[in-house]
Amino acid sequence: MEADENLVLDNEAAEIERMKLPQEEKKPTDPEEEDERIARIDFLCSGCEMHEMVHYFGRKPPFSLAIKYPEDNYVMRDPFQPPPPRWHTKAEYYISLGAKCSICAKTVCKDPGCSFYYTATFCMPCGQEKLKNWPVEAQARLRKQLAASKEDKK
Amino acid sequence: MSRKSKTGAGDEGGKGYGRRSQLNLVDFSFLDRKAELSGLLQAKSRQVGRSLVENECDFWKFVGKYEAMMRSTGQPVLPPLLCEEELVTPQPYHRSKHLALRLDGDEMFQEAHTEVQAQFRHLLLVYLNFRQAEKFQRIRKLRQAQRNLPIARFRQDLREALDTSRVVIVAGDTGCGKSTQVPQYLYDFGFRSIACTQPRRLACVSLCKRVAHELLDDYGSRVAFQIRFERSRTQSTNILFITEGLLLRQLAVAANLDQYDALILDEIHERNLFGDFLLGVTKCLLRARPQLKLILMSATINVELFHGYFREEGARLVQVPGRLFPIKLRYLPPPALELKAGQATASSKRSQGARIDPAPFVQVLSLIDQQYPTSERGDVLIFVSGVNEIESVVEAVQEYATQQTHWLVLPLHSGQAIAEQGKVFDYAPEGWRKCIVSTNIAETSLTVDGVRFVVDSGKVKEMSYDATCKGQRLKEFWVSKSSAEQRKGRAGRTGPGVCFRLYTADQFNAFEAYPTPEIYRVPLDTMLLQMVSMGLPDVRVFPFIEAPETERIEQTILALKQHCALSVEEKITPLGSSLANLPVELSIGKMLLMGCVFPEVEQLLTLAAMLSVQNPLTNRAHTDQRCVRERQSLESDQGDLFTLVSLYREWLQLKMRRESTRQWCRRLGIEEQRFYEVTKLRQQFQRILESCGMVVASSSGSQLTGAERATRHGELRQLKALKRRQRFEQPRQRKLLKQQHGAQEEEEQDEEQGDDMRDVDFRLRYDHRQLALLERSARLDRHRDVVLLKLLLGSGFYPQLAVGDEFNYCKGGGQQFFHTRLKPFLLQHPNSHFAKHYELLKLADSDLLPKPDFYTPKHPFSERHQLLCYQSLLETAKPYLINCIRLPAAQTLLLFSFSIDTNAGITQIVCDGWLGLDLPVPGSGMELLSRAIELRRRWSSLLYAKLEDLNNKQESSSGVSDVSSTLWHELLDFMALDVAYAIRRLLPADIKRLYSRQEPSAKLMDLKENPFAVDYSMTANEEKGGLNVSEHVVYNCLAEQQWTMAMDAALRTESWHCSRCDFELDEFDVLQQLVHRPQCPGRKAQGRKPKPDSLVTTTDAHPPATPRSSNPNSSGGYYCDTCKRKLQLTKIDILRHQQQCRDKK
Repeated sequence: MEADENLVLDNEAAEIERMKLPQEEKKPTDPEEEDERIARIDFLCSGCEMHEMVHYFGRKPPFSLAIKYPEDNYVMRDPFQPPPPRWHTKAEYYISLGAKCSICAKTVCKDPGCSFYYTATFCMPCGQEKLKNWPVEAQARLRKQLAASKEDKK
Repeated sequence: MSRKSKTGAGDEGGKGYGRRSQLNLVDFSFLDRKAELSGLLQAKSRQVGRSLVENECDFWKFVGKYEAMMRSTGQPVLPPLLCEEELVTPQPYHRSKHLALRLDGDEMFQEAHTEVQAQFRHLLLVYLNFRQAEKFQRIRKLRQAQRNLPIARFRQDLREALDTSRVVIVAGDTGCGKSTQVPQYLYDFGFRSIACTQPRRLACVSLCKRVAHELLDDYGSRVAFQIRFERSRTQSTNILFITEGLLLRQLAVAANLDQYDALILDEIHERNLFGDFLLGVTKCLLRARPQLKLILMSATINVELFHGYFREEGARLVQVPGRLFPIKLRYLPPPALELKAGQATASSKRSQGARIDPAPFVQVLSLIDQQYPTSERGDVLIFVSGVNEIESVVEAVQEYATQQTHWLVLPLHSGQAIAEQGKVFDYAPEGWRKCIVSTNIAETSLTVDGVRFVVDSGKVKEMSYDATCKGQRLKEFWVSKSSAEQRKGRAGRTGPGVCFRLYTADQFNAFEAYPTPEIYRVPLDTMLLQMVSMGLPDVRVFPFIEAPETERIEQTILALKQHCALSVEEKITPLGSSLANLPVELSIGKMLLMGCVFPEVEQLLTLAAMLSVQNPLTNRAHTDQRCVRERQSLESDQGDLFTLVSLYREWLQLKMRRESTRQWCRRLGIEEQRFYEVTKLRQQFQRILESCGMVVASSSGSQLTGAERATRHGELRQLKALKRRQRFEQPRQRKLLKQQHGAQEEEEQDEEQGDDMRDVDFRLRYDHRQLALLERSARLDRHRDVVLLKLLLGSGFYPQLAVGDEFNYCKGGGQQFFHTRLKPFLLQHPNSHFAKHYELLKLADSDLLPKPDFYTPKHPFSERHQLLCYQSLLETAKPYLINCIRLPAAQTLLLFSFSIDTNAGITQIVCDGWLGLDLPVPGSGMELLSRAIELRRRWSSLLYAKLEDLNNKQESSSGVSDVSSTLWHELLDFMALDVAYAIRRLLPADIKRLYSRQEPSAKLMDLKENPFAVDYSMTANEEKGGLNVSEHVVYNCLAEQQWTMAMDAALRTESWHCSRCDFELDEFDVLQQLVHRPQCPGRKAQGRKPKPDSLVTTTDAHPPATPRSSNPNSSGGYYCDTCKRKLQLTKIDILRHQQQCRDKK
């Protein structure tokens, strides 16, 4: 409540006026609109068409505890845990579903069949392009992943 | 190792991720430094010490596994850690470059200084990343499973169908996913208020949980359920699973269901009563609500019927093939009859008569043992028709299992406790097979996975309704083809299976195509009443999907009229609409309303609630001698219902003392759930009656004291914490079944340890005071309460009366027969109290009285004749009366009979044309009948005044309670009247010459005033003869008998003087006496004074009918309470004495 300090002002009337306005504006909106606990961001994987609503897109979800992502991620509140009290965080109360490919910016999910992470997220086609420049260990791991996901699809 | 590792860890002072000596897992383990490292798992937080991991145990397990893996793959040296800049450059390779997650150093509680600490932090990150992947896969798997359901391919079809039509039928077999997916599809299509009906409460709850899970909303309320007594619905609910009955109730309140934009009716193929009713109602609803979408879901059974029914609404059909593995079908009819007959005689000692022969079932099991090795998993599901059949088969299979020890036998039927039922879902250990022996409950309602073999007896027990005797019959039938196919299908849910049919293919071909819809098998009264109260002008034109027989509808309407629920014009009466409001059988509703005119309804509510739940006594309660013994002290002579209430009271007392009721219930063989239901139901009754103003809101104002409030507050906090914990717990997981014998007790103890959530709920709802009120309402130790309650029960149950057979006196327990008006030769259910103590229903020798000389018929003459009122009539092996109470015969008949006929002398009374009362004691018939008429009219006028007030929305006048308590006392006096009479069932021959059919004599026509009911205008009864003297009574229409004429002649020679005043007649003339009665000054003086509470203490102002006073044969004498003397006086002198005594005072 930073407003508390601001309240000590000479022109009280003006201050009241200033504080009133935003309230009136808020009125018509549905209280649910502001409920940060409702997922409103569409996440659609370009690889497998996985489709979910998530709560956050970015690097530091407000509901996560002491973690952050090195790139922008689609993150949802963990539906498998009882929710913490409102405005609070909780251990592992976040699931990242995916990110954008660092090359083509397509949205991809975390499934090994759709994306690969090595220093950054790559969609499978971009990953295959990129892999020549990588150390052999990284190449081997991507190839293995590709083979496994092909096996899966069969 | 620990010393070495310390040196290995070395370099304690450095800061940052500099190049330090490396950790080697060969001689180092993080697990050795748990205590020291745990702090590094903590985040900065207001509450100090908040861990970054959900489950630290799991984390340390992971650490152990990780270390082991690194060692075994030859990478024991942990590579140096990289800084952020290094992590984004591809070269050189480092495993941690695959981690898409970072710890936020600013939020950590401690910094990592040493290499050990830094490596540990890194390991934490690896763990968190692993957990992320795990959770991600959980969601993905869930979606995959949804996508793989057969229904998923029809999502688009459904959408198109919904775009073009308002009614869509989704037909798909069990397992196609329609119940879980279709509501979600609708949600995806943009519907935000979806109601989905289910026939069963359990399905509502479990579907709600499942769909919420799939919408990743386990802890939210977007998906909710609403069942009787329980709902989880909130403002943000979008999908609601609701029972059919409740949706119908909502329809009755808010006629158009405006709160929903899509309605799904699931399982309509079951064709139960509510389902059929809903189909008709929604068909009408579509007209009133043009935007409403209706989705009908059914198994692929008789789909054309539903499609045709909604043809004019343009119904679209979406057919979804099920997902079934191939099932091999084998017909194995039991061996030829001769062989069976031979066996039957051999084992007939144990299994009497109709019990099924379990041998074919065991043979199939042994066939399975021969042909399929136990290494191939797969359980057996046996379908038989009923609980007794289950018992025989279970017994036989258990015997077989003593040789073939890999069998686990589990019975399954609806009478079991819920926990017992749950066992069938547990796993059998490797190499074992479950053998589930079930009724048709496992056909569609319960799905047990892992079944590979189905054994179908082809039999089902089905309730049918016999409208002619208003009784239900539970009979064994061959199943229908569609049921047989459903049963077969249960073998192919998880893999290819085999179905053994214990009948021939020819027999199968002769089966009915579909089972009989419930509407043909149950009483229709509640449904029709509901229809009328919803505003349907003529129930005959209701668009039934398959209409019941017109004759049955007419009979039901007639019965509703007789109960005064419908007027002569078939409009709903105030009584009818109040009845329709109560979610119970009509009989129970009626007794509740009849009871509302009395000042106290607490006990009635408890009793009515007890009548409305399934019998709390399990089978074991009757078969296990320990249970029988434990219960014995609480058995009531008034019958099973009263025993149940006293058990309930005992249970409440345990609750008050905070003792465990769960164990107690198990010891006595009680299904505790039923008692919780009674409590809830009772509260519901109270709420409904209060909300419509029938009873005054209970003065729960008996406030708790300060100290009590404080204790209660503490208790509530504790209970709420328990409740929260339970809510967030995972549902019961499938367990590994323990291997038979002895496992039972262990399991019971297991159960015992968990919190009893039902108990927690109960305690949350009831504080000590409320509990005490509840307990008081289950107290039935005052005689007068019992009498009034029995009377109210009788008023509800009427015309369900039975009278003992005249030869019962000379027969034993098994042959005590009873007759109702419509059906002769009924029995008490063998488990009932009256079956065991049948002497309670008989006349004892001491009850028999000498007959007056002129009374020649041989019927026993007594003051103690009793009638039975029963709740229902059920025919299983034999026809049984269920939930009987015993009542004094004459009083009950005169208070409740629809039609009462009498002769001029009121020495003969015939009730409803089937029971005749002979009253050869002078004056007794007149006394009884006049008082009955008077009481009855007052009672119903009180009730109607009350109902009328409600309709006019007036507060009930304050005087009523005074009047009603007077009525109460007078009713009690009436019931206690000692009048000697004979009772007999009329034979068809009697009925032929019953009535005089003569116009009333001139003397009668000259009567200025109706002597029975002043404000009822008398008319001649053209059919029977005589005069209608009240709503139910015809005077002087019975033809005289020889003995009545003899009696009349004998009396005429005597004079008569009134027992209450100085009025005298030279000749004993009944009509003159009748005329005198209302005018008698003595009667008027004593009439309407309200009396003090108890019968026993009543001295003055007591009506002349102190016990036995009206009986001339009585030799008991009279004890005057006022002057404390015992006197030998005639009736009239007693009165005079009373007067004097009072005057002296």
